[in-house]
Amino acid sequence: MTPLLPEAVAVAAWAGLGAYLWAESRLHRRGDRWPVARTAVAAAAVLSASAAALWPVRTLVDEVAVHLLLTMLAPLLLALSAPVSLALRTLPRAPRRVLLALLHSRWARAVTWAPVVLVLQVGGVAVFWLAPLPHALHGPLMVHMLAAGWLFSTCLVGRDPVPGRPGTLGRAVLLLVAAAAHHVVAKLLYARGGGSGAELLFYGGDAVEVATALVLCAQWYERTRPRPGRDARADVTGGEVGRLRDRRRVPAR
Amino acid sequence: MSPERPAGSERRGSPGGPRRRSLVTGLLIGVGIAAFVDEVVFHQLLHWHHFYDRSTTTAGLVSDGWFHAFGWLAMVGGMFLFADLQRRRATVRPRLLAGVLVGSGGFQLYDGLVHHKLLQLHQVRYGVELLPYDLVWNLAGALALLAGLALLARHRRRERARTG
Repeated sequence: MTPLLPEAVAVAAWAGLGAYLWAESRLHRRGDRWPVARTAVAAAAVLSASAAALWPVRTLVDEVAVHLLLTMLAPLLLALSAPVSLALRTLPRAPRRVLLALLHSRWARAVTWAPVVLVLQVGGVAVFWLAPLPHALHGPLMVHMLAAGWLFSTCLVGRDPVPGRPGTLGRAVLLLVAAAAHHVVAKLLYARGGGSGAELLFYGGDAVEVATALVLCAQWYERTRPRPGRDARADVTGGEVGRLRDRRRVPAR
Repeated sequence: MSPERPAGSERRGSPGGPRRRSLVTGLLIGVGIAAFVDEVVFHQLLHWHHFYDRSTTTAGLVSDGWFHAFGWLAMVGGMFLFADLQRRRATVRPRLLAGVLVGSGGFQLYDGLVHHKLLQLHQVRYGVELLPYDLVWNLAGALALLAGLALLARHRRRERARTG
């Protein structure tokens, strides 16, 4: 990474965690609840990002480790911590209105649309590892990958609401395409002499893919839980099985 | 936009009954098992397969990337679908088993014929006479595939006989 950027990332991450905890304490003070699991994943995201920022980068293996921690694992954890929901519930009126306007803008709709998210995610990874980049662009591209990773994870398993988010099957396909592209990039890097760095990219990508798939499936499993009474009869007749495709109502504005 | 709305709060319906769901679940688990065995046994433990082989074509890389990613997803998805069938007591066992056989056999055969031979991704093993390895690899896949199809057909016949 370019000099200064690691420090900036670490500072931003810890400042973000500070804001998260402050917002949470505001919720508690007015008697609202906030799942402790979300706070835990927020802290884990910050740890992952700052570990990446402080990682001494000497070889390609180090660079890959930074990529995995900062632009794949941290965004996944961040998405699970529902930062936007927390902000919407705790911000004072004026900034809250600005955030809402931003979220409802055409621009936000565009960058949270699944195909766009996929292109941002895959494009960033491919360009970063395969294009001959001037060193100065590494930092900015890292930031792009972090942002794209957050959008991608939010679209797949995030706790923040995303209007027009695809159903479970659509999300699985999204994950499949991104993971396959990641594998191809890793092997192409290997073909160019990437060695153990490329192998780490390949298998590290696997680990995050599997973690994401587990969360995606666990959410589906929880959501389609048979409810006593209504579904009990269907079970006896062997009739109903949970739907794979979710019918989602986009909340009215 | 209510912030507390979880990732999904929709109701479920019923298309794709337990029969089809059992088969699909089996297929996914089968593909997952074959991909897992391929990766763990042949790549990591035996080191017979190579991560990358000089003769690998771009088409081979793309196909391998898809299959590797799909293998993991199939395993995770299949397990959760199986758990869902079980908690609803809706598993149709013969169809699940048939799915596992067809899925793993089909994957093995695809890997053996398309990846190893057609796309020359990598070979079963290096520095040995390949023919016996290729034969065993592909025959094992074909056998599992055929056994699965036979099981599926037998179950269908029995079902038909039972319902008249």
